[in-house]
Amino acid sequence: MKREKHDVTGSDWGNAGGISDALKRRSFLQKVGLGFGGLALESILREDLVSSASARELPVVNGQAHFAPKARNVIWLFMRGGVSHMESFDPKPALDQYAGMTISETPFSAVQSPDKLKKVRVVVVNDANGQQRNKIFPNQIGYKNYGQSGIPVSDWFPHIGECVDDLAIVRSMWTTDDNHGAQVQFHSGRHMLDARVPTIGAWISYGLGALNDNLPRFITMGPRFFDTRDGHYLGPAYDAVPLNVNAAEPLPFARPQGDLKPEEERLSFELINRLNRIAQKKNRSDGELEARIRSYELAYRMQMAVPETLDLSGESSATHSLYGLDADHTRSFGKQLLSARRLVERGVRFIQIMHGDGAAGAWDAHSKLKSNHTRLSAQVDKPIAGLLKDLKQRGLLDETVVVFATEFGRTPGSQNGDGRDHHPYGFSVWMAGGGIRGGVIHGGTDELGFHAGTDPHYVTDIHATLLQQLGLNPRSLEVPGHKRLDMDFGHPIQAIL
Amino acid sequence: MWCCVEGVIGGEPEGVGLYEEEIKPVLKERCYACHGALKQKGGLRLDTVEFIRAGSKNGSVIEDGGEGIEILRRVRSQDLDERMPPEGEALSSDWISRMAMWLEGGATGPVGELPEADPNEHWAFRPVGDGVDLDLDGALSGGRNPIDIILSGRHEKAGLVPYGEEDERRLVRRAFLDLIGLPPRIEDYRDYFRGEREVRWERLIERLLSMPQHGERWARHWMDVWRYSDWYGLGDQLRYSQKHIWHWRDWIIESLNEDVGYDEMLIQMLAADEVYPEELSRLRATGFLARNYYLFNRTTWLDSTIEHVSKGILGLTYNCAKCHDHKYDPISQENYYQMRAIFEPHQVRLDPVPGERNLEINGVPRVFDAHPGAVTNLHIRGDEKNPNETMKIVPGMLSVVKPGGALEVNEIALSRWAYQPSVRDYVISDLKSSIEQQLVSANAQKNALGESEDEVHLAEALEARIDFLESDMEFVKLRHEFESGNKISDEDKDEDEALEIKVRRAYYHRSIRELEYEILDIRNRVAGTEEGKQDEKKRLQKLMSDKESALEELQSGGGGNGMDFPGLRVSRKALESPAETEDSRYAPYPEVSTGRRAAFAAWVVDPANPLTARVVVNHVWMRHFGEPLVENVADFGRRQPEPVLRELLDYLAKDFVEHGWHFKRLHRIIVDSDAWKRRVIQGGEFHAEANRSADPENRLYWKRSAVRMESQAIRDAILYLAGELDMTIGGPSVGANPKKGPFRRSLYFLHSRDSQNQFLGQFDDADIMACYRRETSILPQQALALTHSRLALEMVPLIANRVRNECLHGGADLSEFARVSFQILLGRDPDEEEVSACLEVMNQLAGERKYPLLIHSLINHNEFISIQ
Repeated sequence: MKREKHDVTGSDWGNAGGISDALKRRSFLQKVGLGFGGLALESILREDLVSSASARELPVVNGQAHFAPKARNVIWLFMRGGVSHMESFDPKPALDQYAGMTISETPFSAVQSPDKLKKVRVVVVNDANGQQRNKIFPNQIGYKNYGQSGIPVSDWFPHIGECVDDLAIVRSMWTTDDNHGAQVQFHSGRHMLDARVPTIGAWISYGLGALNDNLPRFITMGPRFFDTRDGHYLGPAYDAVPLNVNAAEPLPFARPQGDLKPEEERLSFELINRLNRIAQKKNRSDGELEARIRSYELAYRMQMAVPETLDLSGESSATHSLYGLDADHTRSFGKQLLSARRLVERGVRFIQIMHGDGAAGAWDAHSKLKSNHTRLSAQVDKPIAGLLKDLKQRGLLDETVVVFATEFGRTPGSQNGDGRDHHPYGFSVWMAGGGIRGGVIHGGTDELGFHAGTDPHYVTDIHATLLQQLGLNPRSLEVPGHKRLDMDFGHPIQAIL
Repeated sequence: MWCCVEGVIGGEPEGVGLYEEEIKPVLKERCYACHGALKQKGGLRLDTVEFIRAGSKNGSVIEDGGEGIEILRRVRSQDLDERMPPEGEALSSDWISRMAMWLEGGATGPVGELPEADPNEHWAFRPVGDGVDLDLDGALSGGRNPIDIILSGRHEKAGLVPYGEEDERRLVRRAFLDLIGLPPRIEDYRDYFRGEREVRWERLIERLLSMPQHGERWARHWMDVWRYSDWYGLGDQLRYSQKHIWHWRDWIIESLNEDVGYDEMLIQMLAADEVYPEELSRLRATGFLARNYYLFNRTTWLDSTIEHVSKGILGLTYNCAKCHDHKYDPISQENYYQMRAIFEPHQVRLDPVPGERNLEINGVPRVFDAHPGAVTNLHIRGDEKNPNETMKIVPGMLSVVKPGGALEVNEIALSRWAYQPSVRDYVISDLKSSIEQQLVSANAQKNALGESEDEVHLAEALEARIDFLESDMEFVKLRHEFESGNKISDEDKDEDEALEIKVRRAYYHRSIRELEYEILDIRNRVAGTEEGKQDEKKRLQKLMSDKESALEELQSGGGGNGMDFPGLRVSRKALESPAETEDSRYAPYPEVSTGRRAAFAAWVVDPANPLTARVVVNHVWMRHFGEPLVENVADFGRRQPEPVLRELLDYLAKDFVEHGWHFKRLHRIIVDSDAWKRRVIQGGEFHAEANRSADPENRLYWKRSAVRMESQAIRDAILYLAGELDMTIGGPSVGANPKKGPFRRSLYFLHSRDSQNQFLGQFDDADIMACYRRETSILPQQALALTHSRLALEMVPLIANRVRNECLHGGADLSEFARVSFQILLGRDPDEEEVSACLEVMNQLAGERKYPLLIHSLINHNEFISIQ
């Protein structure tokens, strides 16, 4: 992870002063958009920052791993709306056994005792959704055991099932928002009613910086609704850069929206650079101008690099078909995942892919759960398995953590006769690669899939696990002036490492 | 969970050193909030060793009283009701063993250890001017600017030699951008330099301050601080803010242009409905509160109101006291709910505006007290499901600052005009003219008809419609007469009752006419058809039976007994939750207002209040200089150290209040100062080096710092220089991403979570959730937006043409073209190196395209997007 020190001509940082200088420089760093590569300037700024403050004064060793990392990148797959845990990775035969009975008629009525339900904080008061559903709804899909580990995966995810020996399934997640603001909570660790804080992707790109000079270090694809920013108090430089790989224009303003010939563009960038450099000679201590100059250099390189990265025509037809690019229902998500692999190859740190349209998210099956999950799982199952296999065959899975997550599970009881409601008390996610053990089940819910009873994990435990694999100590990522709560840090899930 | 080893570790500090390096920092971080100067729970303070030794009300905490050493027992306890600190994670076992070691070693502390400062003595809670010398009279009589008097004294002491005054051309650009948010055009420079040297600067400042664009420029700043957002939700469902909230934006622009005092602006924003209940124009100001509307959760709504009223206006973080007493400031949890009580009764409604009866098209969102009797409860640990119903919460503010915590609340009786908008003259005349118009068109239609059977039927229906409209008009007039009546006095009682009966009769007449018209109308449509008209036939039967009963009612004495006529629905309350029925939105409004917000507003603008003026002056200063005097503009609490230039802040705050809270006076003082006019770069670096080592962060303003323009200013500047900026002031918000002109100023874009201009979004657009201070990021996406956007590429050739028109021979001399381009876009002449760089690059392009090429590069120049 050791990076070379790059020379930045013409930059004059004055005397390295005490703590306040260092802090000031940090706040400068926070606004400089080195989210786009910027490796060279970033490393020199950071070395300067670190050297100007003793460890006690400024415990954040920003931009460098705190200890030897197991992984380098993250591909974060988020199913918006809430995937049924009982019908994906946490089989509950009791649902069939007690189908049609109310929960209080089953031997497990205690799951609804008020003290067990009180951790949920309601955003939308008196909403039609996010309620207790009492009548047990039977399983809508069967399960098969896969791989050497023999771990069961539902028939909605047969391709992922084939990869189960690479997965660590955590069946004991819980959160505290019973509505879709839980999406924000899963990414940031904070409930919608609390302040917005940086998301896990922002922390990782803040903590580790870039591996590539021409591409963003943190990319998001797919729909977002409740919060479209990531950096928050870390600054806009840590917001994910949105890429729309299924559009003609993947990156806003990446191509001229009017009359500008390539030759003119080249000349204009050249002149901008020359004029800014001339201005810089008169004010050598102007760090902002240096950053501005760099941002133009990056922009110019990036507009070349992004189309090249997202051009999938050089991939073999076997690869296309592995990701499902050859079928209508899997093409869109498959393109995102194949692009994600290409971005990983080029050193992008964190690639966040959101699946499921609509404000709430498509997986939100309040009714017709069977047809909903049948359709949506078909869109993602093959591409995800394709990604895992492809990463593995290229040796990339060792250094890339793939996370499959959703904001909450779904109720054991039925809603509208054929759906399930939001369920924050217990749900499943899985991780693979980057030093995560495969073929592992960790934690569990009770017989009804209601509460995460065994080894329960709040959402930030996933964050802590990622940070640990990437060589970062979450407590050393604290930023002065912003209080992180205990919950914000999380604890790595050691059992799957 | 903990480790009991209490041995001495070699080389580690002990005694005083151990206390200062290891023990005290953790006590400060985790314990002082409850056991320090702010609070002394259990009678225990831990902020000096002396206090630690003094123990709590139960005796020593560091001696073994039989059950072990209390302080160690409590930090080690696994019982969460016992454990200290009660919140957050347990203290580390490592620290606890050091603590034990320190106690073992005799708990020695440093000599002369000072306790935490008294919270009441915090600088921002003290009166403005307290403890600093603001007497500048002698110096002021020499005509010097007060800012410069204060700064030059500080420069002398610090051995700083400030930079000189910027070139006049650049100062003109600075003044334009600062005061109206647009760069000067070539004609502006020309006008300016034609003026007499001695007076032209002052004249320019006066001219800029009197331009309507000044109000637009500064309105956008205050829209940041006051969290302007257009409505948004899900599809058509309004969840946040209010429709037509732009009325509030226009009120801000107008108030600034008229130089209404900030105190008066605050009174209107917080309580215009109580202080000026009959002034629609001032009621617009309460959009400030209406913007916090949230459909789903009243507590969330009021939380935002409390948080942002206190941060934005008072520089206090009340939000930290929602669940427990504030950790740093003397704001108790009770104080939080006392502030909530101020806002508890208020709600939002849309009032009609003259000339428009459809509230979906226009209306003024404004607040009013819908629930004067609403009770406020403290939520235990901030949990709304767990209110403390035994504790009485009355409206109030924190007591440490003047004018004290109590509010003088007096209930306010409202006029009919205020609580019953249907009696307003403009509402009635709009309604009458709408009926008149319908009459005119029905008559015209009828008169145009011929003799065919269909036409005869249609004429009958129209006749019925005309009858209906006439009876409706009669009803409207009578109802208005009745509704506008004052309270019934005994002698008029009979007359009123007679009038009421007349209105009811008119209502039934009108209703019967309406039914007759509808019956005829449906008959005409149903005539001759058999299929597919079943529904209409059913409706016909229903109408006929309605008519029968209405006739019966009329004959049985005019609907006198218990039957009512509907009031006019012209104003609409916002839904209080998705479950609320539509009807209750039109329920009558209370005839009184609690007066709580008026009392609060008076507290806020009381000249003795030490926060209000300081906070606002700091915001204004930051927007002129790029840096504030008080670093955290939204938190003047105890975490905020006394500002380096406290006397400057206080002087400006005092002057502001003493002279009527007028922003224009403050702007004049600032832009007239040497401090504001200084250079960003001084030729000759001699002093620069010395200054930089004495004051590296320019805290004493020995030079000016360049300020990155806000996204709105960048876009507006490009359009303005191209001559394409539509200068219309005010009106409804416009679509955020217009493909073609007219191009309005950026502050008029729809701005909400769901609507944001893409170009502005690249340059740190205002965050609608909170934007006390704009980010000024430097991102490659900005380079792409400025080089590739339609805006840039379409405006560049227009700017190039305008520049060429200013050059001799149409810019045929490229160095002249470059020079004029620099003057117009950057406000300065290019040096030789710059001219030759321009020529070299331009000459690589044949033909006319070389001109826009240079302009394209210059709008991307760092100096173009900053105020230099």
